[in-house]
Order: sequence, then C-alpha cells, then structure tokens
Amino acid sequence: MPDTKITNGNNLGFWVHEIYMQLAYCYIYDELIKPQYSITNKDDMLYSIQFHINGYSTGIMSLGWEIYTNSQSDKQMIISVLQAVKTNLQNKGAFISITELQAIPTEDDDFKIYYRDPFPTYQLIKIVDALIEIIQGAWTSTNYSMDIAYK
Amino acid sequence: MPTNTTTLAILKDGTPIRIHLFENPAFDVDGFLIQFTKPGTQPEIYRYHQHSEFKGEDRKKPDLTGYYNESLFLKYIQNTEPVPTLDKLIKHDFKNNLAFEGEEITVSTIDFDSPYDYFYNTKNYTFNLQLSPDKRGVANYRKLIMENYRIVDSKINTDGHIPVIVLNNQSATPGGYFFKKNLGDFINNWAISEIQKSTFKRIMSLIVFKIREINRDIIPIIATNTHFFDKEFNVANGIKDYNDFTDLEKLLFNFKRTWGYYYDTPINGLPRPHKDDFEALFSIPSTYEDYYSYYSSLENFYQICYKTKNLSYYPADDKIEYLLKILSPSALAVIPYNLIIKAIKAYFPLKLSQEDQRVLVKLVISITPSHANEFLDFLLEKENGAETNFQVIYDTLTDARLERYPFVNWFVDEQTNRKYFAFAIYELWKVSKYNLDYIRPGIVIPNPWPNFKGIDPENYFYINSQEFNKKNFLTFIPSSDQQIVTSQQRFESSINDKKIDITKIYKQNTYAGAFSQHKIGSEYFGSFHLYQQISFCGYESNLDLRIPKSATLPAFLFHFIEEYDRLVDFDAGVALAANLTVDALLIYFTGGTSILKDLQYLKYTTKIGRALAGGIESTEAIEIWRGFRGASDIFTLTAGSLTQINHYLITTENNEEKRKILEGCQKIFISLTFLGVGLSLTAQAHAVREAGKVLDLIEALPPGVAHGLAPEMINLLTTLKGSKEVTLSLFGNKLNTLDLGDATNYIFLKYNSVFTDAQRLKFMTDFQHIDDLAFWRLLNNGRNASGIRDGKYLDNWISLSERGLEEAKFTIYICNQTRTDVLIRFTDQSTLKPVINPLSFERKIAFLNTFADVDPVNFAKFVGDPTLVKKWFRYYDDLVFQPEFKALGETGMLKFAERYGNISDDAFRNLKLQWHKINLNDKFKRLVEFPDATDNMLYFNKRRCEMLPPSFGDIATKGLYRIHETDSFIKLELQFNGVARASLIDEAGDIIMQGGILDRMSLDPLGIKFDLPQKMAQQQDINRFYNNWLGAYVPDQKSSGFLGSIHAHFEKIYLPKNGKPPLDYIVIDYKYFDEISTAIEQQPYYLKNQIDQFIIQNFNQYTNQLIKLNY
Repeated sequence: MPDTKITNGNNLGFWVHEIYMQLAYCYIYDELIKPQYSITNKDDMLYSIQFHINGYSTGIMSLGWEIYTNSQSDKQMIISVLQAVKTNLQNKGAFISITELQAIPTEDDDFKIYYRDPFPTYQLIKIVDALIEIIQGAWTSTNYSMDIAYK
Repeated sequence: MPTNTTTLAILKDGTPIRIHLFENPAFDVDGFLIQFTKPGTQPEIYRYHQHSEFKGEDRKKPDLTGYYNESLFLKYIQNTEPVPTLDKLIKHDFKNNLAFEGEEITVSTIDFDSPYDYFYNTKNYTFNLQLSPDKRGVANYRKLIMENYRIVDSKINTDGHIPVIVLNNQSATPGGYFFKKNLGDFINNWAISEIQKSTFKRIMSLIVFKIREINRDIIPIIATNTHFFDKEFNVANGIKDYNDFTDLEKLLFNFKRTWGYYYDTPINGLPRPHKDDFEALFSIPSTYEDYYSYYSSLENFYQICYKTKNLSYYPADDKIEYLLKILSPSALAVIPYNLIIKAIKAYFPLKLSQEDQRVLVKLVISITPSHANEFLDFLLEKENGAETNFQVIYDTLTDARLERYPFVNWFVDEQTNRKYFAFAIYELWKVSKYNLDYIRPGIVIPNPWPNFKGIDPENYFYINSQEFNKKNFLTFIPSSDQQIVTSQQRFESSINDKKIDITKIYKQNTYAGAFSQHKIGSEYFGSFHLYQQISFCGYESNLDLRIPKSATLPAFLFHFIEEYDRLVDFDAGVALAANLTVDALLIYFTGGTSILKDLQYLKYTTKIGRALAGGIESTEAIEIWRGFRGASDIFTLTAGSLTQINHYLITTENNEEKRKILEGCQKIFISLTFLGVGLSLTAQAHAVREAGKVLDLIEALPPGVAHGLAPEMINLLTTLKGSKEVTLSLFGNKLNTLDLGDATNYIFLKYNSVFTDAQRLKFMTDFQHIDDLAFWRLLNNGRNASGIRDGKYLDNWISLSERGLEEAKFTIYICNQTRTDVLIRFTDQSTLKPVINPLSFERKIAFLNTFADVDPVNFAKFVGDPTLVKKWFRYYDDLVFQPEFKALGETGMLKFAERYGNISDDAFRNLKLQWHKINLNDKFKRLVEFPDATDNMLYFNKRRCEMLPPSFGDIATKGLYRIHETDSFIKLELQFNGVARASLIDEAGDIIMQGGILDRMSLDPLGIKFDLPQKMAQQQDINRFYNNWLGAYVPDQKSSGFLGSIHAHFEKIYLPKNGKPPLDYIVIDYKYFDEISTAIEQQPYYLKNQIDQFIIQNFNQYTNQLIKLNY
C-alpha cells in the first residue's frame, strides 16, 4: 500500500502509509461535519476528505488543506476539530473495536479487508497530534517517517 | 575450485572488486569469487554462503547471502559452544575493495565446449571495467539466465569479449579418469545437440570438482582415528587384502575407488584388481537427470558432513551408523549396496522405535534402480528361516500417521512408514524383471503384435509362467446410488509367504418395503505372487486422484492399498487404474487403444495368447470360445492353427478392404484373449459383433479379390455369427417375461422392434447380468413431456450407446433426462469429447451437474477452449478452493478458470496461504476484481497471482498492494525484462527490480485506479471530482491530489524519507489518462499533455529518473 507525505503546502510534514491516514480522515470527517464548526469552504473540505475515505485518491493521497487554513480563524477552527477528534479517540479506550472499524462507511473494499484487528487508538492519536502541529506551524521535520504499530 | 592470478574479481552478486590484498582466491566454474583469505598473524578464510545455508530460524531475515568468516560460520552452523548468533557472524564488507572504471580484469571460466570428451580447458576473458548505465559507478557483471520468466542461473557477463583458451589437460588425474569413464568414453556417440553435450560436460565437471572437495575436506574427517590412509594404497596395490579394512575403511575405499583415485593404466602380467579398472556410475543409457541427481547427492553429502560437529571424533561404527542416519536417501546413493543391505539386516530382530523405523525406510528408499532385481529377490528370501524379508520389514513398520519425514519430498502431508516402504519397493519394481511392462533399454522385441510393445525375454513371469495367476482381473462394483437396489463388490487381501491372498466380498441390498433383502458373502478369489501384476476395473475412484498412468499394479501394492484404504494419498504415479470405472475392453472399443499397452502381458499369460505366439505344442486343442449355452457351446482350435492365424494377424495389409478385414480379425482375437481373464460378457459380445462385420466385409469384397483367411478362421467367424441369433432370442425372451407390474413392457417393445441387431447385442452386454426387478422397472419408467410412460429411458440408452458413451450403462444417466441431455451436449462437440470422456465417474457427474444449464455464451467458451475443463477442475477439485470457487457462480468460475487456470504450482500454493489477516477469500476477491488484461494476458494473469502475499506483500503495512499498483509492477517487468520483488523496510520504493536493465533499482509507481474513470463519469459534478483528484502544486505553497503526489514522489529522490535511501526511479503509469480526459469532455491526449508540461516545469532536472508507463 502506498505511503503519502502529509504537508500543509510546504516541505514540512511527515510520511505515513495512506491506509492509516484514510482511517484518520474517517474520524476527522465525523467531527468536522458537526454544525458547530464554521469554516470557509467547509463543504469543499468535507468533499475532499470523503474523496479520500472512499479510496478515490489511492496512490496519490495528500492533505491539501492549504486553501482551508488561509485565515487565522479557519486555522483555529480546524485545530479545534482535531483536538476534539483526539479527545474522541482517547475516550474510545486503548483500541478501536473491529466492529467499529468494519462499520465505517466507505466504498473502498481494501479498507475493510485491512482493518480486521482492533486498532490501537494511540497510533491514530499520533497522527492527529502531528496534524495539529503542522497546522499550528510547529512541525519542523521535512522527512519524518511515522511508523504505525499495527499488525 | 579453479584459481587465477588476477588482481580483480567478480563477486557472486556481480560486483567487481580488487583482491590484491587477499590471498588464495578461489573461483567457481563460472568465474565468480567464492573464497579468499585475509592475511595477517591469524589468517582468516572468508567463504561465500547463500541464504539457504543459514539456520532455518534465521532465514526469514533478509540479505544473508554474502562472504563470511568461515571459522565463525562453522561454529554457528555446527552449534559449537559458544555458538555465535547470526549478528556475531562477520560478513565482509567490500565497500573499500570496489574496483574502478577502466581497470583491467581477467575472468577465468571452465570451457564446456568441444571437445566434449576432454577434461578440461579454461576460457579467460580479459577486459576493462565499464561504467553502469546510470553512470553511478562500475557496472554490475552478473548476467541472469532466465527461463519462463524465472531466474534459473547466472553467469558473468562477458558479452562482446573474445576468450583466450588455456589448456589444462587433466586426463591423467583421478578426476580425468572419472570424467573419461563416466562421460568422455561415450558422449560423442550420443546423437544430441552441441548445446546438450555442453550441458552434460558442465554437470560432469561439477561432479568432478565436488568429488575433489569431498576428498579434500570430508574424507579426512571420516578417516580420523582409522588406519585408512596407511592401508589404502597397500590394498589398492594388492599388498594388503581388502578384508583387512574395517567396514568404515571399506566405505571410504569404495568411495575413492569409484571416483578413480586408485586407477592406473593396467600392466601386462601384473593384474591389480583394484587399480586396473573401476566401476562406471554412468553409461550410454544415462540421462541428464541421473547426472544431476548424483551431483545433488555429492553436494548433500558434503554439506551434511561439513556441518556436523565433531564428526571426526565419532567411533568408527558410530560413524557408519551416523552417516546412514543423517544422509538423505539421495546422499545414501553413494554408499555401497552391500553396506546398505548389511545395515538393513541389522534392524531385523529388533522392535524399532519410530526414529529407527524412519532410518530403515530411508535405507530402503536409497536403493538405486540398478539394484532393483537384486533387492526384490532379497525381500523374497527368508533371513530368519520362517518369514520373507518383505514380511519382516512390513511387519516391523508401524502406522505413525502423524509423523513427518523431511527427507522425502514425494509427499506433502503426514505419512506412514509402511507407505514409504511400499512406495519405495514399487519404484524399484517398476524397473525390475518382475514388471511385465518393463523392457530393459536396448532390448529389441521381434514381431510385436499390433498395439503390443512385447515383453522382455528375461522377465520373471515370462520365464516362470506357472507362477503367474492369470485370473487377475478384479472387478469392483461400487455402491450405486439407485434408491432401490445397491450392490457392491470388493476385494480384501493378506500376505501369505511370497504371495498375496485375495478374497472377494460382495454385498447386495434391495430396499423394497416388506421385500427388502440384504445379501453379503465372501469367497476365495486367488493367490498372487507378491510381484505379479493385477488389473482393476470399477475401483471407486476418489476426486483427488489424477489420470492413471498404468492399468495394472503389483499385488503387494494392492495389498497395501487395500489394507490402508488410503489410495488418495498416493501420488498420481501410484494412482494407477483406480480411475477406471468401466472395464478395459470397453475403453478400448470406444477409442482408448492406449489401454492395450498396459494389458499386453495377457498375450503371454493366457493360453490363447501363448498359442498364437507359437508357444504351445501345435496339436493341443485350445478352447477359444465358450458360448452362452454352456458346455455344449464350446469351440476349439489347435494351437498350430492359432499360430497360422497369428501369421495372418501380424501381416501388413495395404489393400483398404482387406485391411478392414484384418483389423476386424485382430479385434476378435483381442476379445478372445480377454475371455480367459473374466471379461466374458463384453468380450463375447464384441467378438460376436465383429465376426458379423468381418463376414459382411468379406462378402462385399470386389470380384477376384481373395480374402486370404485360413479355413479355420472362416469357421470361427461363422460359429461366432451363428451364436448371435440364438443369444439374442434367448435374451429377448428374458425381457419379455419381466414382471413390470401393470406397466406396458417398453423394454421388450423397443428391444424387439426398434433396436438393430447390433444395439440388441450391446443392450444385452450392458444389462444381461442384472436380475433385479427394481432395476428393470426403473428403466421402463421413462415418460414423455406430458408425463405419460413411453420408454424414454430406452431412447436415452440408444442415444448414449450410439455415441459410444460408457454412461449408457448407468441408470444415473439414462434415467435422468437433464443429465443425459447435458452429457450429449458436451460430448457432441468434437473438441470436448476427448476431454469429458476420460473424466472419472464422480468428476464427470460433478461437472455435468454444475453445467447442466450452462448458458450459450459459457458453453461456447468450453467449445472454443477445451482446456477450460481442466482449468475449472484445478480449482474445483481442490477442497480448500472449492467453496470460494463455487461461490463465484457459473460465469464467475469460468472467468476465473480462464484467467488463472494455468498458473504455476507455486502460485497455486501461495494462494492458499494465509498472511496476517489476508486469507484465501480476500485473494479470490482480488483476483476477480482485476480488470481484463489488454496485452500479455498470460503473463499478467500469472503475475497477478504470484504478486499476492505471502510471497509478495507490502511488508510495511502487512496489507495487499492495490490493484493498479500491481498492474504497474507487472508492466514494468515486461517493459524492462526483470522480475520485481517487494521492497524491504529499509529499501526505497514499492519494488526492487531484479534482472534486466533496471537490475536492483528501486521503483515507486503512481497511477490511476482502474475504476476511477467510471466513478468520475457517474458524478453529478464531474469537474469538481476531477479537480479534487488532480489537486494542485505550487512550490512551498500547495501540494495536493495527483499533482501533489507527483511532487511527493520526486521528493523521494532528492529528500528521501527518514531511514531510507534515495529512490532510484519514479514511475508514472499513464493508463486511463485518455479515459479521464474524455470524462471531462477533453481530447484524449489532454491529461497526458498537462502532466508532461507539469513535470517539465517543476521537475525537469529529474526526468532521467522518471519512467513513463503505458505512455
């Protein structure tokens, strides 16, 4: 399965395998869609995330949030979303159950084939934490390889 | 191990290095460096070791192959305390020894070309090292040799350079003697190509070099603490007696003598038995496999002895015992036969542990075909005076079903010692004097019969015909699935001295309410020499069995099979006749002439056969016909007449009409020969029918053309024809009196007024033996479409019978309209009939049931490609695959079989293996999901199967590669003539290419998922979807979608991921670009141009590391 470099436009970011980013997108989507988050072009952002979740971007996945983080307020709002995602994940306990993973709506069959073991929540939180740092501009590495311990 | 004096050398991986700081470099026959010594106060030997030489538990680690400090490696492999772990081994790093462009190298290889009887010359290639194609360093000089897309070997790439031949005549060395005796003396008499001769010379040279290594490294170890070296030349020179040797010393002496170490040119008047000659291991009939097998034996012998810790300190007897225990059967082949027999006898009086049983079986397996007769005779001897050695060994072995034996690779699952024993004896029996089908190479049989290849004049049963029990046709009747009557006939056996006693068991159950009956009984059938052939018909076959190769098998093997009822576990070579569900003669008369070669011994074992061949006193009366009316209906001819008739039968006839008469007579005599072995019903019917035909042919001969038949033959023909009328009337009478209840007797009606004479005869043959009324009532119960009884099943019988289909005999077919119809549908196709007909009873039913309502498109696929049947069975027969396969449905199964029916056995096995959570079901779904390949279909389908885990999986995520990625990998292989493997964790890219012009390069493809154009076309807002997919890239500002991904991929070259080397090539797969362009209502080349432009603008400096696929 391909890997993807997650950046916010510049070279700063990290490498992670797409299948894990795809899972992170699922939880980001669930949170972002909530009405309390008001972001310019929110509809486009949801569309783009769902595009990834459905596996249309397999092999070419990216973040592409530059256009949603132009304003300080949008940027702050997205950070709020990510922090809420992190809290939600923490509340799930150590693992996300197989039942929950298999119930995630996606058109990508490979996604369902892959997630047949409980997923360690901490590994997903690592990704969300890194995303928060990237949006905040605190991330400094250009080629960090994020190893996800699963399977 | 040849040596040379160059200061440069090529490593086994093809890297050129400097070796001026090393000493004693050694090279293999292809010129690769395989050993060297690092000088110093304590010189260190480094030796090349392949992945497979490491301990099993370490082999899962990558990149083990290399040059290791030999002293440490030996401790590691011999487990010598303190045992070094893998990470403590010292692998030489050649980075400071790399050679440079322009340096001169001389590569020395062995010359395997002409003269082929000469050992040996070297070919020296001298050239200057070149730069690699990517100009990053010196070129790699390993050239892979591919066959069927697999790497089979490698050599040093000396293309374009002319060698200098250096003479190195070794004809007066032991190796030279061995070479001459075992190949040189006769290779030029072989009518084979130059390339084949070169191949033989190569393997023989490898054998000689391996023997030298054994003599140098292994013999001294085994000879430690013996007086072998003091005695060997005294014995060789006749000064000391051979029997002064201990057994171990004899073993060593025999090794070396066979290898030519004591040979010297004979001196007149001074005979030296051990020096003047030595036994040849190979001769004119030897095949390449024989040579290769011996080489493997030597290699195994070397490796095992080399790896065994402290072997030199073992006591002498223990060494022999140990060698016998540790050596594989193939390595045991180098040990003298008499020592093997001595070791086997040592086990006789003992009750053996499983471990010792395994050793005993292994010893038996190691007996080579050249000792087959000797060993089979040994088994018939009685070492203890009471029981044959066969029985002693057989009874010694127990049934350890759960044991696993790594030393034999014939079987894949748990086996029993007895099974190994039976199989090993069977292998020897096949090439022994006891097998009537085996003719020694070079023996020419005079005047063989038509279709009969003849018999070896030294065959045991030919010479001792009184020991051959000719009543050896065992007719099994499997339990039928008719609801009313089931009947069964089978055989049981027991060992009795040198014979197998066989008992017939029969059973018949009639289920008819109050009239139900259950009959069972047994009777002595016959006694058979252990090694005599017996034949089957009707043995209930198993779905797992494959096509039989022979119709007979020796009695001892039958006993084994009967005892264990595990025929299914035997490999196809032993499956034999078990698939035959109809008798042999019927197969012959429906076109299976090849069956006769398996039954040819009948000619020599039946009285009529021997009389025909002139082997019986000419005045003796031979009964050749016993008609249906019993003792009053016997026809005899004198043996002399039969010999005369035989002269007629074996003549060659050019006249078309007369040739038909001759063939008819031959068929009659084949039938008559069968009469002696219990096939009376079928044989009589065929003899009668053919007699009528022959007489008709004689009558139709043009005026003036004489038939040429002897009066006795005409007399016989007339008798046979006359017999028909009586017979048919008698049978018709029986049919007319059947009690069919209130129903009209359609059986008699059709028999009497619809059937032709030939059909009546055939009908009688098929059903005469059935007395059960329930059967006849069922056969009479056929109805038309309106449900009215009309004898339809009799019509079905005619339909199948006239087509020559054996199924006409079975009510499971003719009393089932759908099955009859579908059978006709398939077998009426000339391409399919030869494929469907040979299927076993059960497999045919399974196939026809599955495709009973096959739609016309799928049916046309079968017609167009009859191999599809076999491909379908490949998955259907396999009980692991079957549920998933059947779940695909009719069309799905056929599509799957079309694509993947031909994949290699390795790929087939790989499909079954679970990898993490990826199971068979996932792999099936994946293979179905692939779009149809549009070019190189065979290769694509094959590699799609092979590129599945565990043999090919994404190691980083333990997941599957995506479909479009896999196809990009395959396309790359095709385009660049290499083989891809998955990248390891610390390697760049998705794949590493092996071989071809991208050898060892890392590649990372990106492309379009195959269903994306379709998904795009289904969108309400196509442009929004497209733009989202395409994304954007502005340096340091934006990077998303496809464009962003191109950027990320180029980054892997100049800003590699942490912990990975830079990527060698990015690959953009342009497949589906046209479709995407069309979906957004642009010209087909639109996207292609856009992407090309994008790359030129942003990454122009890296385009030499960009590969465009499907461009």
